[in-house]
Amino acid sequence: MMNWKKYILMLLFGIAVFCFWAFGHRAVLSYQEQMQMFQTTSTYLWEHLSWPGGIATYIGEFLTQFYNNYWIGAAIISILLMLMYWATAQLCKQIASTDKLYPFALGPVLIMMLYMGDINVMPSFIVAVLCALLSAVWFFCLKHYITQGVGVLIGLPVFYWLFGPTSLLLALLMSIKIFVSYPKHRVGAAVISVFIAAYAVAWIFLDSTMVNHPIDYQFVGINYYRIPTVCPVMEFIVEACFVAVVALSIYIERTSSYVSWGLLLVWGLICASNWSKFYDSKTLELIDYDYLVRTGKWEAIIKKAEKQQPDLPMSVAATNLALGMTGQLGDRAFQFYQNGAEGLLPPFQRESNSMWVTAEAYFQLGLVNTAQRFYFEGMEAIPNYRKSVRCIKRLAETNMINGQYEVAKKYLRMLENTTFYSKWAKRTEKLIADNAVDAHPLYGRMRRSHLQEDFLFSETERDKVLGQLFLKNPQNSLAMQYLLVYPMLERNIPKLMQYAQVVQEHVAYNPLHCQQGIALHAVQNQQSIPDGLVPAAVTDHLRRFAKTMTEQGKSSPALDQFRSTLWHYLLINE
Amino acid sequence: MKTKLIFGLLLVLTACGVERAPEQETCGELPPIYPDYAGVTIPAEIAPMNFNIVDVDDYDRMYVKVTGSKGGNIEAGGDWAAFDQKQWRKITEQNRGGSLSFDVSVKKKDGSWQRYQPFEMHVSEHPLNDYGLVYRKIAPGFETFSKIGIYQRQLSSFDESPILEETAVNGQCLNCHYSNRGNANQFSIHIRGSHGGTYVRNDRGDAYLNTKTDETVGSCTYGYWHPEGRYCAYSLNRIFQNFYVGQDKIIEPWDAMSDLAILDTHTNQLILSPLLTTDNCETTPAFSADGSTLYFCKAPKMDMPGDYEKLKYSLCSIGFDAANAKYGEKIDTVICADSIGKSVSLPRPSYDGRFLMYCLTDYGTTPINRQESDLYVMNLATGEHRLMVEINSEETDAYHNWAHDSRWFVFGSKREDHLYSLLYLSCIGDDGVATKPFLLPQYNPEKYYGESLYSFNAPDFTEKVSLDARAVRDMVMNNPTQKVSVKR
Repeated sequence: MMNWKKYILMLLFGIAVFCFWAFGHRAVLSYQEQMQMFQTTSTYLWEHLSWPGGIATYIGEFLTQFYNNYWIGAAIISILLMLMYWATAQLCKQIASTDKLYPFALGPVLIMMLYMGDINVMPSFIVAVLCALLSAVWFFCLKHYITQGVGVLIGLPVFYWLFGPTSLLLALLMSIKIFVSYPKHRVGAAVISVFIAAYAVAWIFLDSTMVNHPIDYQFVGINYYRIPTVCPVMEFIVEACFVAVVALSIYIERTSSYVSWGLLLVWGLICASNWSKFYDSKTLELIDYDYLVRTGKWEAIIKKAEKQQPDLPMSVAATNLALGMTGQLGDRAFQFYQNGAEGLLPPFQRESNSMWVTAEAYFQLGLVNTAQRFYFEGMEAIPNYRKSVRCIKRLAETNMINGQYEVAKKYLRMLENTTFYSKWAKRTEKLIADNAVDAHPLYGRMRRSHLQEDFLFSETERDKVLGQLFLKNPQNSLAMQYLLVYPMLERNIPKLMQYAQVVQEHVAYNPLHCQQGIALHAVQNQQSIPDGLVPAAVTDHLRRFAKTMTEQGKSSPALDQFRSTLWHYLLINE
Repeated sequence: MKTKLIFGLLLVLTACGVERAPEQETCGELPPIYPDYAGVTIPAEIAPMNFNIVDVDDYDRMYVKVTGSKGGNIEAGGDWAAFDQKQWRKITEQNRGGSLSFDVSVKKKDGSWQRYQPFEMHVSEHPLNDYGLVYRKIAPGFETFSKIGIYQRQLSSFDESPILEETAVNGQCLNCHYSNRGNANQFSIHIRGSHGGTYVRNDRGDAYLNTKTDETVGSCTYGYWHPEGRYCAYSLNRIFQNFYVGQDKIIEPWDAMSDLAILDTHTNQLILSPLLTTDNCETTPAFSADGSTLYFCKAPKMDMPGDYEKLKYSLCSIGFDAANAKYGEKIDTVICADSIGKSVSLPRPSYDGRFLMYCLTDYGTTPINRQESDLYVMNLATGEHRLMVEINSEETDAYHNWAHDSRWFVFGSKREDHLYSLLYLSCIGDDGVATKPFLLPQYNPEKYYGESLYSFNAPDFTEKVSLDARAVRDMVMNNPTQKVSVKR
């Protein structure tokens, strides 16, 4: 009866975890997947065997590649956490000799789930903790002191090399088992327990000389956390929770099963009260935007921005890109928060996601070399030195567009050694072999659009580069929109007039914000508003705006009705 | 038991055996191998020159028989040609001054064999006695660096080991490793970042120096040791970089300011000269074989980055008296940039005083970023210099250094794919003509280089270096404790 309830709880927990990731946080799965490039080669495996914890990383990366499909990704996380719960419940059961502690045993897994809200927690840590728990379950089954001794002396160092410093977690669980197993020899058991913990620590020190990593990082665990220079205290708290639950089960077994449920409630409250610290809404918002940019879901980006104004440089850039890709930038840019010209093409930052969104904007514009630089830099900025499958894919494309086929082929062959990009890589390599790059709808268009003459890129003269892109290919709609909106965001109306004239010499394109700019320019220079370029409705709108501002002042709430106009951005949002 | 033994024996035999190709006529073509080792000259001490078969449809396996002109033969076969290290060493030693003929056959999936025209490798009479190479592996990026490391590679085997990796000193960028003619106990590594400094090892031990002073324009960057081992010349650079928009060029690093100084490693003093701390840019110093002359590159100050295409460096020299730590009185121009319309960089005199190798580019000071960079050699006895057509390629060729005996040299080249720099070795004759260079051998070259996302740069020959990465980390993370002083 009790077992049945346990499995029901486990199943409910698994379903909840699955839904949480599959429906609420699929962008995080995509984020994790793009921060690595799992290779199905022997070299990749051997490389991972060369440092302590390498196999945990290998398994973690193997599983993470499936996050490419968020249904599978959510299922994997769900299964890992269910297994973790099962193992914890088994350990409690063996220590306490009763099955009634199963609600209490869910606590540390909830804490782990909480910790996973930190996007820098690597799946390798989850794998390593799970393996430590499963190894402990195996160790708890050993009855004879000789097999237990062998388990400790051989098992711990082997475990450390394969899975990393969660060997300390395993050692502490082993210590508990030894301490509990020999009640008649408490002192001896205590000494052995201390020895086991010291033995695990000693192996970490011993092996630390074999790798070029600082000792403190080896205690944290190589690749347990994405940023090597950070010591994630929460990691140790999570491990301590598992130890505490197993150790305390000796005492809780004597209490009523309601206590176990009550303690689960306490675990739940702890998680709930700290939830927003780990699942940071701003971080998750940026990851969402990055995911939508990566997948080219431009309408979804606009819908998201309509629901909540983007206010971070990266989300502003993503929204502007989405507007541009759907041909709406010139008409709707000021319906959304703008932070200046940097909102179109943010400057260089050493942070992968920001760089990739900027890179995508450059790529879509046709500035292939600059996109290549930002993608490459974004990949090199991954703190744990991993390569990004998303970047390698794009770099293969940029090199192919640039005609650098040998580099493109190098990247494509690496992608052929992945599970999910192999077919694409083979198809794309065939384009090179068949000399069909020019005929490809995207690459051919990019070749026709991108600037071939070499000159130095200047962060301060990006509008001039946009102008060159447009002149090179007046059909480059994104470049045209960016070129017109750029001076608006710079609050430079005379420059807008110049650019608008250049554009209209080539293309009949005069979006709403451009009309607003032309009307304002005419009024400010005491000229008549040109009828052919500015419809009467825009002129009337401007008159009402001017009247409201003059009569009620710049801080008047009545001006809110003009919030989505260029005039409001220029004159009110100064 | 007996069955198990027989089965085990069969397994071992199968694993060790090589499927030989049947005797047949050659097809008249050279085999499509990677790397291109046909006609190269190798030292007898080099690791096995394993190679792969590439671009053959329905490829199944290969077989190669190597026959020495002075006797001996070995064979290899399978997915690629991987020679036994001991057998390889034996046959190369046996054929020193002779050649090895490689008879390659390829088996296709339908079971048919094709035999190719044999190719030759020449085994040089000149030994290559250096332990190995030291180089930096770095992703060919822009501003952000990921996992950078300085590695050493034994030349007689495929063993590569890290000397120092960025993972040991997180967040710090490791610049090139400069040793005194490969001396494992006289080298320096400049480290950039929040804990930046210059790590110097010499006969007095290890030191981590703060080489930035109020009187100099930057920290010690590009170094070159005086042969006597007490002094190390450095350029002090303030480096910036720009990026190209077009499609061929990628990055343009340039010096806003750069001067030269010589570090006295006994007193930790930077010895300056008014001739070398001017408004002009002086960079990449190198001592002559006897240490009496300091070569360097020099360009007039330009309005950068606007005038980047006009920034052309001349090759210059100045005397240096090591006994009294004194510079010469005047600067000589060895190659004038204006007269050739090119920019000189990375002068590297051979240690026997015969040659000086350098790079020529259209402009700028970092040849590794310039596709047109080619290697030139100057005969120091006659002053004649020439383009080394026999070793250059259409892509970047740069970062050259001499082996201890000044016969062999190593250089980096992007000839494979335009982006990733790989290492090539060649041997120079008395006439200054070099042999066809060969790519640094690897156990499985196609796999190794195909899966590598690193450029190999700043290579040099070296003795085996032993460095305690943890001790270096402690020094680096505690910041440079010794500040250099300036002596004019």
